[in-house]
Amino acid sequence: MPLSQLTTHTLLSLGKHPLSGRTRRAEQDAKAFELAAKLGQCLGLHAGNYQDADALKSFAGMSIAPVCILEIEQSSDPVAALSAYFKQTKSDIILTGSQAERGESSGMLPYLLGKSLDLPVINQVCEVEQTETGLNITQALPRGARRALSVKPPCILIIDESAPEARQTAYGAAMRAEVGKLQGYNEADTDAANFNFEDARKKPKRMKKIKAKTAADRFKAATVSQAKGGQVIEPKTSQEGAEAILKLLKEEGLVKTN
Amino acid sequence: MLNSLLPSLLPFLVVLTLSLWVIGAIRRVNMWRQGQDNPVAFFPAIKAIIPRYLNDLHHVVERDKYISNTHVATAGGFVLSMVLIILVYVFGLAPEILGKLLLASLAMMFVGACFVAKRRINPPSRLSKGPWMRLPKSLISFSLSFFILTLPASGVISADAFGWVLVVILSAFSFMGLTEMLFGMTWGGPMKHAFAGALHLGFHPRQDRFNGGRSTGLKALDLNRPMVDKDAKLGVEMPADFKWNQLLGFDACVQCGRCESMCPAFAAGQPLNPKKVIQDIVIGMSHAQDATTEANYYGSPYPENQGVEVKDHKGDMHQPIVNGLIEPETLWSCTTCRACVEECPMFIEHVDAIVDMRRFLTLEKGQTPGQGTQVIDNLIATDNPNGYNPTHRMNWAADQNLPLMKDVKRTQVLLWMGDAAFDMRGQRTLRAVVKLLRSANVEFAVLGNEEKDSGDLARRLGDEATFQRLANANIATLRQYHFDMIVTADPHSFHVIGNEYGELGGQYKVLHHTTFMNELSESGRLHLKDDLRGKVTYHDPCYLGRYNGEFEAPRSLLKSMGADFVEMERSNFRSRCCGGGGAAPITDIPGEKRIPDMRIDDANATGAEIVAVACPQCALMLEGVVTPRPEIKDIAELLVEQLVIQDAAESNKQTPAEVH
Amino acid sequence: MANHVKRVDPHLERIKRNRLHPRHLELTATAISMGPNGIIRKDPHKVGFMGPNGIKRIDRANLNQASGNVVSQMQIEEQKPKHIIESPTRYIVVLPDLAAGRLSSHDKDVLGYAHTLADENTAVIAIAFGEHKESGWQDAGVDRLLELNDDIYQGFSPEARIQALVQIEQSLDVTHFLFPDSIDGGADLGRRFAAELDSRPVTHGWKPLEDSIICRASAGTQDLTKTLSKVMLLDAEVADPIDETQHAASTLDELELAVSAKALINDLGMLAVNPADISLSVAPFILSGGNGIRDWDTFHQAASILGATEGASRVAVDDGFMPRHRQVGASGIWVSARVYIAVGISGAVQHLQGISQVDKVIAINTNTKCDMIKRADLSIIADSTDILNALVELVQAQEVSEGESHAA
Repeated sequence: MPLSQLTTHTLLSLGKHPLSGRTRRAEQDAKAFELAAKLGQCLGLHAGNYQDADALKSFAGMSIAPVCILEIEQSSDPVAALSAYFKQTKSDIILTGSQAERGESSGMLPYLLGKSLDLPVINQVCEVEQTETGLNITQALPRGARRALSVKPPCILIIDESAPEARQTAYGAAMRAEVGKLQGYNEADTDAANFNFEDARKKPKRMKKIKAKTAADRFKAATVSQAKGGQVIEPKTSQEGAEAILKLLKEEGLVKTN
Repeated sequence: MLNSLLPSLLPFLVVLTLSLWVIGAIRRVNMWRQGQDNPVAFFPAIKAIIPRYLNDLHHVVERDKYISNTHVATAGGFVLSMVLIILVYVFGLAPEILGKLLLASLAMMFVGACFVAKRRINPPSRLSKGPWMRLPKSLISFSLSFFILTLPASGVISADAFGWVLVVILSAFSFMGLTEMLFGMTWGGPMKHAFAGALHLGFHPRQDRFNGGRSTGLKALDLNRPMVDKDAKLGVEMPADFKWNQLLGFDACVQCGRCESMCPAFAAGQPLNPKKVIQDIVIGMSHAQDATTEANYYGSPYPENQGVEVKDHKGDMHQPIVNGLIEPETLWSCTTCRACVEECPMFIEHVDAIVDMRRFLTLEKGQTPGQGTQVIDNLIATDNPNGYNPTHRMNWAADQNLPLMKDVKRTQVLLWMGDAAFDMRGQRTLRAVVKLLRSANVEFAVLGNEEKDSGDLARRLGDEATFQRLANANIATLRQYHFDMIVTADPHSFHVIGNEYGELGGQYKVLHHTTFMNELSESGRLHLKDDLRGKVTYHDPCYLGRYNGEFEAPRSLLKSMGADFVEMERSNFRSRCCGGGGAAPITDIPGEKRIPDMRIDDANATGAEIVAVACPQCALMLEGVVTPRPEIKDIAELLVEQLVIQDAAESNKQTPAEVH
Repeated sequence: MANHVKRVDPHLERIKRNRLHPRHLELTATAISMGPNGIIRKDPHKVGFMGPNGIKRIDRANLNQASGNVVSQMQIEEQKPKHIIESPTRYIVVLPDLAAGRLSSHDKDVLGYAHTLADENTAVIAIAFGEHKESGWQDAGVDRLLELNDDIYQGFSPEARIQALVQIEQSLDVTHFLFPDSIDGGADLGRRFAAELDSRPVTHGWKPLEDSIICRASAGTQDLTKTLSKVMLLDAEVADPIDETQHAASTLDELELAVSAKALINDLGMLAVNPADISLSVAPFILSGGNGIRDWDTFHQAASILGATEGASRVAVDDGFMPRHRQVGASGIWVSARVYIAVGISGAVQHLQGISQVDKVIAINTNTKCDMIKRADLSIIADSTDILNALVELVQAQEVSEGESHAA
C-alpha cells in the first residue's frame, strides 16, 4: 500500500498563547499537520463552532491541506462527534497533539477516540515512515532518546514536542483559504458543563523540609551554608585534569565505568 | 565623390539609427508597462527631468569629482552633438554655423570620453566590465569620427580633403558610435542608462525625494486584495509584480557599483550585492527583449555564495524571482540601512525592492528565515518581538513613578519607550532620558502597557499584516490622548511613527531624543557640564541619519558637553550600519565577518574611548563586540553624566511624589 | 575513713557559684535534660568549652562531632515507626514510572499522595512493570509490591499493561489508580487506562483539597477543580513523599493475571541516537565551547568521543565557529543537561541564565576569576586543548582495554 494512498486526518484545535491568552493555532496540532504533509492525502479537521473558522485559517495558511470544521454545539462532546465521523469516513492515520491549549486539556481525546474506534494509539511520535507492511514510528523519549515502533494502519498518532517544527502560516494563503463545514453529531458532555475554570495559581516552591529532632540540628540546617562550593583544580598535568573530569562523568553515568 | 556620398550616407545612418531608437524606445516603455500601475502625472514628470538632473542627480554624482566632470563633458557633449547632428545632417540647417558648434560639442565629448577611457584602464572592482569596457571606445569613435566628418561639412577644411576610402572608414566608425549611442540606448546596452535614467528621474516612484525632499518610509500594502481578487498577491514574486516605474528604475542602473562599495552586508561577506540584485531583476525582465546585453552581468558576484549563476538564471517578466534569479539569503542579508540608496546616482530604490520581495516570501510563502518566524509569532501574540508578557512592559519603571497617559490624558511630551523597555541595556537609556526630562522640567507621560511594538521589525521582515495591525492599534491608542509631540530614544520607532503611520491615518510630530535634548540644551533648560572626559566618536543610526536627516543634534550635544569629538571615516550620510537594522540579526545570514565588528574597527581607527550611540539597537549590536573595544554609551547616558542638577526646590516642585 | 569525710574544696565551690568564672561550666554538669513536652532541651549556659582565646564557644552545629552525628542519624533511621496493614480491605494502586529503573521523586510524591487518601484498612500497591533496580520500596510508602516483569511487559507495551491493570481492577477493590502525569510513561499509561475504563480522570492534579483536587487546565494556564476520580494523573510535588514510616512492601502474590501477548504495536527497540542530533534543550550531556577555544577540531573530536551534544557561547557562534542553533543562553537555547562542560566560556550573565537548570557544570578555563568558575561544580584551570586531548586519550584508552577484556 503506497503512502500516497493513505488517508490522513489531522485533528486541529484553537490554541491560546500562554502569556497574552490570544487565540493562535495550537502548536502541537500545527506540528501534527506538518507531519501529515508528507503522509499523502490529508484533511485538517476541527470539531467545534463554525464561528472559529477565521481563527482556523492559521492552519489553512500552512498550505498543507484543506481545513474543515465538524460543526457541533458548544456543550457537545468532540470525542463523540469525531468518533461518529470516523465511523463513517475511514482514515488510515489520525494525527493529534497531546493536549489542547484551551479547556480541560486533559489529553484524553486521542485515547478515547482510540477506544471508541478500536484503534491502536501511539504517543510521543516524532517521525513516521511507511514500510511495506505498515508504518515505522519513531517515539521520542525524555533526554533525546528514541524508540522504534511499528504499527499497521489504521492508527492514532499523538505528536511529540520534538517532532519537526511546523511551517509558518502565510498570511495571504490564510486569507484566501475557505474553511469547509460538516455537520457533526451532537452528544452533550454533562461533566464539562459544570467545569469552573480559574486563572492558574502559582505553584508554591517546595520548602526544604527540615526534620531536625533537636534545636541544634534545626539551627544547623538553617544557618550552615548549602553552597556546595565547586571544586577548583589547577592540575599539574593535563592528564590529572582530564581524570578529574572523567571521574565526575562516570559518577553521572555518562561515560561507562570499566 | 565625397560630395555625392556624404550627403546621402550620413543622414541615412542617422535616420536609420534614430528610427531604431524610436522602435526600441517603444518596446522598452512597453516592457516597463508590464509592471503594476503607479500613476505619475505625465507632463510635470517630463518637465522635472532636467532640473532633477542638474540638481539632485548631479549632487550625488559630484561626490566623485572625477566622474562628475567627466560625465558633464561626455553627456553634455553628446546630447548637444546629437541635436546638432540631426539639424545639420538630417535637416541640413546652417551647416556653416551649426557645424562649428557641433565641432565644439564633439570636442567636449571627446575630452570626456578620454577621461572615461582613462578610468577604464585600471577600473576599481565596483565597476562592471564587459560591454562597459567597450563604452569609452564607442564614445571616442562617435565623437572623433563625427568630428572629422564634420570638418568639411562645417567648411573648416575643403570638402575634397578626404579620399572615399577614408570617408567609408569614418562612416563605419560613426555608425558604430551611433549604434552604441542610439540603438544601444533603447535596445539594451550601457547607454540604456541615459534613456531609462532620464525617464526614471521624471517618473520616480518616490516623487518627494527630489528638491531637498526626503521620502524614506515604506509604502503600505493593500491587505484586502487577496480577499477581493483571488489571483492578487501580496508583495513581489516576479518582475511584473513591481510597479512599472520601479522596473524603469532598475533598468536605469549604470552599474557604477557605488551601492556595492557602501553596502555593509557586502563588506561583511554576506551574500548580498545591491548592484547584482538590481541586475538580476533586469536580466529576468529583459533578457527576452535585449539584443545587446546578452542577458549577462559583468560586475562583482555576491560574496560567500555566488547566488544563482548568471548562466543558470531562470527568469522572465512572469516567472518567480527568488530561486530563479536571486536566492532568498540575498534578500535576507539586507539591513535596510539605505546606504546603497543614498549613494545611487540613478536614484534606484534597492531597499523598497528588497522589502517588496521579502513581503511575498513572508506573506504568501511563509518562508521567513531564521528566528523570523518566531519573532513574527511573538509580535502577533504578545506585541513585542521577544515574546515577553505584554503586561510587563512597564516593569522597568516600577521605581520611576512615571505618569501614564491613561491617567493624565493630556501632556506636552509623550515619551515612546519602544521595545527597549524589555531590555536591560535599553532600560538604562530610558532611565537616563527620564532623568533628563525631569531635570528640564518637561511635562511628559508614557503609554505604559498600552504601548505596542511600533511594527518596524514586522514590516522589514515583510509581514505587512502584523505591521498594520500594530500600527493601527497604536494609532487607536494615541487617538485617545492629547499631546504636543512624541519623543523617543528609538530611531526605528521614530521613523515608523513619523514617516509610516501617516499613510494609516496617524499624523504626529515625532522627535528623536537627541533632537529634543538639543533643543532643551540650546534653550537653556538643560544644564550641562562641558568637561566630558575621553575621546568620543559618534555612530549615526541609519534610521535617524540617512532615513531622517538628523546628523546635527547629536553632534551638537556632544560638543556642548565639551567632548573631544572625532568623526569616524564613514559618518553622517555615509555612516556604516551597525548591522542591527532590517531584522538582519534575526534572519542572521552568515558572512565572513560581522558588521558590528567592522563598525568597531572604524571606531578603533579613530582612537576613541567612547562610541556615542543614539539607538538601542546600535547599542546592543556594538556592545556585542568582544572586548577590548571602546565603551558604548547612549547620548542620553552621557548627558546624564554631565547634567548639572537643578536646585532642590525646583526639582521638588516637579516630582512631588518622589519626595513624599 | 577518710573516704567518708566529705571534703569540700572551697575554691571549687566558689567557682560553682560564680557563673562568670571561666571554669564554671566544667563543674556544673547536666546541660541536657528532657523538657515538659518530651523535647530535648539544652541549657545554653551549661554547654560549651573554652576557646583558644579564652572566649566561650558553643558548638551548636556539632561541627566537631561529625562522626557522633552519623551514629545518631543511623539510630533515627532504625527507629522509623512501622506502618503495617495486615489484612487490607481496599487498595490504592500506584504506577510509578521507574524511569532509569528507580523511583523518581515524582513517583515518590505520588506514593505520598496515595497515603493521604488511604485509611487504616487501605493498602498502597505499587506495580512495577518491566525490569527495575529499585530497592527502597519500604521507605517510599509501598505496602504491597507487584512486580510484573514478564517479556510481554518489557519496553513499550501499553496493551499488555492495560490488560493487566483491567484484571487487577476486576479482582481487587481498588479505590484509586494513581499515575505520575509525566513524559516518562505515566501520562500515557494513565490516560490509556482511563479511556479503557471510560472514566474521566483527574489530569495534572497538583493541589489536593478535601475530597477534590485542583488540576491544571488549558495547557497549564488555568486551574480546574475536579472531584477525585478512579484514575488520577498527578503532577510532581502533589504531596510530600513518605519518609517517616517504614512499610512492608510485601509481595502481592494472590493475583493470577492472564494477559495475552497479542499486540498491535510492536516495539522494535531503542534507536542509537547520535548526540549531535539531540536537541540542545533536552540533551543530557553537553560539551560547550566559547571564545577560549583555539583548536575547534579537538573540540569536535572530544564531543564525538565523549558522546556529548555540542553547544556554544554567543561569541563562538558570532565568530562563525558554531551554527546559531547551537547557541546556549538566554538569547539562544535554555538547556537542561545533567552535565554541562563549559570549555573556554567565561560565563556572561545570559549564558549562565541559559544553564541555570543544569545539574553539574564542569568548567575548563584559564582564567580563575571568571564567573563560570563560580558557577561550576568542578573547575579545571588549564588550557582547554590540552585537557580535551587528555580526556580523549583517557576515554580511548579505556575503550581499548575494554575491547581487550571482551576478547579475553
